[in-house]
Amino acid sequence: MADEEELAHVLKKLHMLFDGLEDLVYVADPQTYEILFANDKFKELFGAEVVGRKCYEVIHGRKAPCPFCTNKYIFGENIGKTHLWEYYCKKKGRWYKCIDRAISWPGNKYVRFEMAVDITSHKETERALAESERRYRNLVEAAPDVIYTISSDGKIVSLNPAFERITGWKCEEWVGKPFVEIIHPDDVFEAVENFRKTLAGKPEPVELRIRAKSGEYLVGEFISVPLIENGEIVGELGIARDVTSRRKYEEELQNVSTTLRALVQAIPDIVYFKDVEGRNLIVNSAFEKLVGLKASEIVGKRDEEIFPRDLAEQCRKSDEIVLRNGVAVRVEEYTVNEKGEKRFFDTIKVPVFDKEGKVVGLIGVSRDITERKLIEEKLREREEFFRSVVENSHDGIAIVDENFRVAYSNNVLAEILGYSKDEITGQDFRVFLAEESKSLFATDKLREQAKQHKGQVFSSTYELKIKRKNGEEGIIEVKATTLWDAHGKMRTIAQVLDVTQRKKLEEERKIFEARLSELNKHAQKLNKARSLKEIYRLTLDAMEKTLGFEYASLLMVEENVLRLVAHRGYSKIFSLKLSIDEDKGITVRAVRTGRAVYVPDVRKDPAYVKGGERILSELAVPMKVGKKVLGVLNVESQRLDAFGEDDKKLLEVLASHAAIAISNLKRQEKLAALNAYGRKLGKAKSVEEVCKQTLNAMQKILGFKYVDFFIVAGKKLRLINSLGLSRPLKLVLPLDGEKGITVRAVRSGRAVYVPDVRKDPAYVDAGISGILSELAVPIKLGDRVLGVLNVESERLDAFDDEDRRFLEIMASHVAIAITNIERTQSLAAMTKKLENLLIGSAKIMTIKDAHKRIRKIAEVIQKFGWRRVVIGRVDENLNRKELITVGLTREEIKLLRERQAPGHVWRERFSPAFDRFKIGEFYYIPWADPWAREHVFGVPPDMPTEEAIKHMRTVPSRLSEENMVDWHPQDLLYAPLRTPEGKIVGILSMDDPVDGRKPTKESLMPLEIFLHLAAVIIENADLMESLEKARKELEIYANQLEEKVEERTRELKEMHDKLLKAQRLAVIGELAGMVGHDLRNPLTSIAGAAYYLKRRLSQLGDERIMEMLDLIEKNIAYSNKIINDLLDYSREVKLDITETNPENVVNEALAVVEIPSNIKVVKLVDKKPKMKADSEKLKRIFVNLIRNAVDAMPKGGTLTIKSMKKGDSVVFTVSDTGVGMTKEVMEKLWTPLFTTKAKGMGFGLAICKRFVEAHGGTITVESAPGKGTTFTVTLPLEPKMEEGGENVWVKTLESSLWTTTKT
Amino acid sequence: MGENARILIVDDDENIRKVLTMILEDEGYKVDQAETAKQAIEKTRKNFYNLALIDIRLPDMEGIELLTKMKDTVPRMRKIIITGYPTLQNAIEAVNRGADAYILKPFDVNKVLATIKEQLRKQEEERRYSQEKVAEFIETRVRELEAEKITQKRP
Repeated sequence: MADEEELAHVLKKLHMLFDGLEDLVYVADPQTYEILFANDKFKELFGAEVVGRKCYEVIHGRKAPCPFCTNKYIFGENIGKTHLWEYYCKKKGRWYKCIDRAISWPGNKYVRFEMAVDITSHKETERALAESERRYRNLVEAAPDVIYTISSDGKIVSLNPAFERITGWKCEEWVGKPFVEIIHPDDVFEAVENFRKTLAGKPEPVELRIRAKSGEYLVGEFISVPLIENGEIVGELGIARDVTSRRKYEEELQNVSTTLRALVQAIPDIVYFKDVEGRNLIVNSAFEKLVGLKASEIVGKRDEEIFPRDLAEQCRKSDEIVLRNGVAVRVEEYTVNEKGEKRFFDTIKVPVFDKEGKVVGLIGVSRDITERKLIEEKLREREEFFRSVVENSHDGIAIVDENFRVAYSNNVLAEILGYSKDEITGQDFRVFLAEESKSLFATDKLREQAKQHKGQVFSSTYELKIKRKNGEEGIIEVKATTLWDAHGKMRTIAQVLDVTQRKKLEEERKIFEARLSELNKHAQKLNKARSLKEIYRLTLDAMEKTLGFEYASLLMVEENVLRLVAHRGYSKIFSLKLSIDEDKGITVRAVRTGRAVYVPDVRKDPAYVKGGERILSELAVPMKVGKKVLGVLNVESQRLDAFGEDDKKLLEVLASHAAIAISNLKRQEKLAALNAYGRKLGKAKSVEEVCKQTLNAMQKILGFKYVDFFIVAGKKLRLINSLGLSRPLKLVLPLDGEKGITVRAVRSGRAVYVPDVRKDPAYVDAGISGILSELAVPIKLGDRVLGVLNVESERLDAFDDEDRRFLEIMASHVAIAITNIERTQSLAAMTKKLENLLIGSAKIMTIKDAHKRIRKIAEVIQKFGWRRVVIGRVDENLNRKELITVGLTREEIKLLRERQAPGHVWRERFSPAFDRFKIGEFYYIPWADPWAREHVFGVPPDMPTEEAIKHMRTVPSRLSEENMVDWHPQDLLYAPLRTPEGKIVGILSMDDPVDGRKPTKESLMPLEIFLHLAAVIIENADLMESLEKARKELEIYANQLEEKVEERTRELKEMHDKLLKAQRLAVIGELAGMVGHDLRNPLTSIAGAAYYLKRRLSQLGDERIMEMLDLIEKNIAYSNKIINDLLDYSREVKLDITETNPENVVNEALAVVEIPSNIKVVKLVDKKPKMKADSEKLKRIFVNLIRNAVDAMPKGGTLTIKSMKKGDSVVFTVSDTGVGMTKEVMEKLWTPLFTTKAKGMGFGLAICKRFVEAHGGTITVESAPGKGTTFTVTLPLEPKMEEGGENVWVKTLESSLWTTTKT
Repeated sequence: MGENARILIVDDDENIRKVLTMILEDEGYKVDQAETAKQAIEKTRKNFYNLALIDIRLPDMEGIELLTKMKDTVPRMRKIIITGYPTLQNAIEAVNRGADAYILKPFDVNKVLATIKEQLRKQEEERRYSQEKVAEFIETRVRELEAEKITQKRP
């Protein structure tokens, strides 16, 4: 059992092992073929239910055991052997390798075990390998060439069928034999060598002869590779191609003419032989070299295969001619190598005939002529170039041979020498030289030189004098270059330059420069000259001594005149003045034209001014600085045309030196004068003074004729003064206008120069005829333009930069001076103002009367430069209460009162909408502002000012716009007078500024003090006034106060008492109400009990018992009444209003009360008027009153009831003739629970009073003891419902009681 | 008929209950008492009363509220409110809540008796009226049916 168990265990393990395998496993009984076990893989392939089925059925789908069953290999004597086989499963299309073996199995038997491994992919590979082997074999077998292998010991291993076909041997005859035996004996050595190389891994192709079976030798081309097995070279694998036929042909040709071949090879030219097909059959080494290929590579190929297409084509053409026509041709051919270099060939092609005379080919010989061609080309180019250089050279060129004869000369040289080319050629070159130059070229000397430099190129430069054909001498510069030609002959090329003219000029130049340098030396002296006189003297010195002029003079331009100021050389002293405007005098012409004027013959010039000497020629040179002509230097001569260009130039130089010296001197003088002027200007006290000094300086220092002085005033440019005019001129130009060159200067802030005013539309003709140019320079300080200095001239373009500069200097002096004056003035004004301020303030403080103080303020403000000042006191609505004016006429004051703006307008003027007009605390409303024009002045913005003034809301100014700078007479300036708390108590307005200027923050600043001062004064005045008023009121009040206090105290006390009483009563009422209410229940039961007793006891007939019981009932009723009154009194009174009338009221009451017979009732009651009231309440009032009256008359009397309408009320009176009351009683009459009667009424009258008062009426009583009592009830026709008056005490009486009961 | 009427007195004041009971019993009424509203509701549920005298203030409930409840449970029962001090508001409310009459404290016994008698009479009248109504209805219906029969025979 244990064994079996163990067995089962082992089997199980085995099964598990097999199940885990990738391969198919099964176990089958060899006898029954039943499958005993199959692993999962097997089941996967053949199905889960395989165990127990026949193996042949399952695996092969057979019905009987397989014929190939392998059992025989593993059972019987083969037990323990493993049988391997392969099996192709059709079902799966896969190959398996099966491993079969007998294994022992439970039941003590051997079973068949088979394991199948999937080898499909392996099988696939094997098949592919077999296929490739087959193909390879086919290839080898079918190859046209012999494929062989040789082992390393040189024995033939394999041969393919091609061997048999080519050689005629059977392969078997050679396989295994040494290969050398088949090789031609002559080639054996080479073959062995080649074989060795292959074995060494370095195979080379080789040609060897092989012995065929026929005995003849075949030429084979062998290509081999080492045969490698397991990484070692074990032999040779080779392919041999039969080239016997090719070789043969070659050989044949070779044999044709070995000598020819040798010859051909030796020729440096390219030689080739082509057959009729154009194939190159023989080429020599030159050919090989040309194409870079070996002969073996070329032979048999056509040109197309060797050369590029176009080259081949060129050859083919000539080849064709030769081959077709059988004639020789000579052509030039070329080739191009890969670098693009061309080579040229001179080719001769000759046809080759066979014995029959048929063309069989051609022989070509090509000579490389590239070098020659290039040289030829270069030479041609060189020659061309050389010729053109020589012919076109600016220099003369000569070629001199070894015999010093001119071999060649160009046109230029011919020109230089004055001979023709032909005349020159062949002559000894020395012929053309002047004597002194000839000596340089002695023949011996030249020969010696040539000897020294034999074979060398050498050159030298000479300056030589020549003799021209016409006998003139000339100077030439020669550069001679000597060289040697190929024949060793000397050639000298001379480059000749004609420097005759230059030399001459140089000579002249030297003289000129000498004079010039002299002059320049002089100029230095000129520059150091301290006076004009010195300059004149030095200038004349230079003219006379340095320049060597005989007659020299110096003239200066003075305004419109040219005046002679100095002269030399003339026999007598004379003076001369020439008008520049007249055409008289050569010098004048020089001034006018600004250029040197030379008159070679003065007799022919009508402008010449005759002097004492016999002058024939004259040269006048202007002294100029820039365009400006200062004067003239003039020289004269008694010779005709005595002055040359150099004279002119030198004189011009001198003139410019002199001019500079003069102008420098003048400038210095002007500057000095300007400085002096500036210093003087600094002391000027007024703008007028500045103007006067400046205009003078402009004329005197700067020499201007027409000078103007403009000042900027507001938006206008005003001419202050001018000089040079015959009559004073008034000129005001608007700055925003188009007119005035001066205006342009202001606007641009720069000098404006108009050389021709006729062309400038802005020019203002101020009445001076003939003004042609104008220069306006702004008077500027920083960016601010204060005015303009203006100069005018009758000449065109009369002013230059210097004028502008001087004017600018002047203008800056003026600017400083004016600014200083302005400052001084404003300082003085400020000082004055401050003084006014101080004095004013001091004065203001001493004035007690508010009105006068304000007036004083106005006056002080006036002193600050405002002609008209208005201060208005205003109330809290800003309406003016009082006006204080200064500087206004009576009419203006009247107008002001008429036109003064109401408070709300002022309020608006101080609103944020006006903030843009604010300057400090002031509001400045410019007339020019269109919005202000409409909203403040109340006139349309486009209405002309003259018209607008008549309609505007404000008071117009008397002043005209002309008197103002930038203030418009209608401008408005005002400020609120604010107390420190910000309350506006007054308004200050002022206008007509004395300086005509717009106010600025700075100018208004001092005035702001007054704003506050005035505000405080006004406020004080207001306060004082109200204080006074208050004081008076207080006085009266104080007198009344005592009385009032007393009265009030009394009232208060009464009120207090009433309140206390009311409170007390309220409490009592509440309490009473509660008590009363709770008394009801006992009363009820008493009443019930009494009733019961009365009923029961009535049968007894006892009178006294009955009487007692009646008494009980009566008192129960009375108690109940008291309780009801109490509750009534303590209850809130609510009126239920209906319409009724006095009669009804009284009748209803009388109906209730039993009137004893001893009382007479007098009823004087009307039906009218109708009244609204709570009838029930009225009934109770009158019941009460009537009862009281009845009670008051126990002994009888008269009850009188009256009613009468009185206004809106009805008055009832209820009078009795009873006992009356004392005063004490009357006082307490209305108090609840007070009664004079033993039984008392308790609440009666108190309730009456409440009810009456609830209707808004009154109840009073009049009485005296013994005189009866009268109650008067006054009720309104319609009750005034008094809410909350006595709105009273216990609202929810019952609930509170209920609460008490419960507890 | 009055002699046999049953009256319920609802009042927390024992004295009043006692006195009233004595008087009413003397008058021949059958009298029952309830001290609280709760007791009153219980008693009216159990027993039949022709009339109830209800104090306006009860320890556990306002009399008027009790009225409201009883109006639904015992609508036929006559309800008289006894109040200390009638105000218009009180009266209106009492009637609205189903009181048939009210009497004042402290009451005049004669008036109380008269009121009770009056209410009981009204109750009797109502009862009779409703009985008559039923009879009248039956009679009318019978006549109508007869008339129908006639009309049916006619065609």
